[in-house]
Amino acid sequence: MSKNLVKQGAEARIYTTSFLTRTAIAKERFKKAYRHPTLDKKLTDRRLVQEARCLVKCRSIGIDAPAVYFVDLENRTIYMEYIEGKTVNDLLADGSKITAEESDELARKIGEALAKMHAAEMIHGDLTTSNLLIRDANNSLAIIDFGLSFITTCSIEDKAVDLYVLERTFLSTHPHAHHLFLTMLKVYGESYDSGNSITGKEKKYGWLG
Amino acid sequence: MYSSSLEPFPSHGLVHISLYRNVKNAKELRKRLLSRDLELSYAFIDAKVILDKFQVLVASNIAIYNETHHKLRTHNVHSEIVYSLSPSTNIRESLKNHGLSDDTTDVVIVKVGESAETIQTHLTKIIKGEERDVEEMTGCVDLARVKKYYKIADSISDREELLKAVVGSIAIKNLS
Repeated sequence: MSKNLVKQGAEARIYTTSFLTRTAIAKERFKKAYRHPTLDKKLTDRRLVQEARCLVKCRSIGIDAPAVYFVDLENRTIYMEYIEGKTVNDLLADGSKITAEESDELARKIGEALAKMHAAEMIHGDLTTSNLLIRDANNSLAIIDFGLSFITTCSIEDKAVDLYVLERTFLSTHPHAHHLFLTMLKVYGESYDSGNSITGKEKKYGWLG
Repeated sequence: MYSSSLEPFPSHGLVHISLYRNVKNAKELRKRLLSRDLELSYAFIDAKVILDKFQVLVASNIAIYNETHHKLRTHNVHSEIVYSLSPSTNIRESLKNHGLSDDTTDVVIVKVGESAETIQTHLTKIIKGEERDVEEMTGCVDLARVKKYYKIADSISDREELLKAVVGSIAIKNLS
């Protein structure tokens, strides 16, 4: 199988590869030599399963995320859809020209997607602008990298932390686009029953941070 | 017939997929399958539950994975393909919903291994029906049945979106 390394993270290597007539992302988690092999296998399996389940759940409730093609527990690898697109990080990068209208549109898409995800009790765990992708094909906002995701039971705290992590990304990487984050937060609060109590919590973290 | 090797199992040989329409002897084939007639070492799938050949390839890949790692839940790799297609972990229900029934007329047939010519000749002998281009299977599907079996929201109507939801639920079925 010919694989091209696209990214090496702390937990996994990301490759592009051809897979059953399509182009796919293969995400291979590392073996951790410092852990006992049995424990390592158990923890890695659980992570892979959690990630795959969250991705599939997203698609089943109408949130755009990579489709899962194959979970290879033996080789610690998930094969999923390769999405052609630009990250929100790229779109907001210095020098990129984004109009006020485009910014509001982007904020609305992000706010609605995150509200839907949280309403389904899914926590992403690593929300950054690099993990939000606009598809070239139809401008849909896709959420990627569910490597730290989990499904929670009624945790306002976890959801607020998700938003707080995203706000930190905006403050550190896109300080000029903080208004986009605030518009996003407003949309989020309106699109989701408990949204406003979560954004209230998030503001508290923001204030503390 | 469409023949291809699967990237995760490069040394495993080819997977062959054919489509037969207007099949007249589904009842006889089903009876022979139930009596484990070894001449019928194929996966027979009701084309009504298939959106695209990619769906068949995804299920075949999982069946071969299960065989390779001694995790087969059914008798052999071919019944495992039919079982893998279903989101249900109930074997009888999976074979009933995705396999042949007595009145099936459009059939997708999968074979793991052997050569395309051998299979072609053999299938012509055992199937009373017309072989068609594999890509034609996109026109045989019963979308209502697909949505029901895979529990897909009615709001999803785009074919590509449907296919993504379907392959996802196939991919995570056996994860405990």
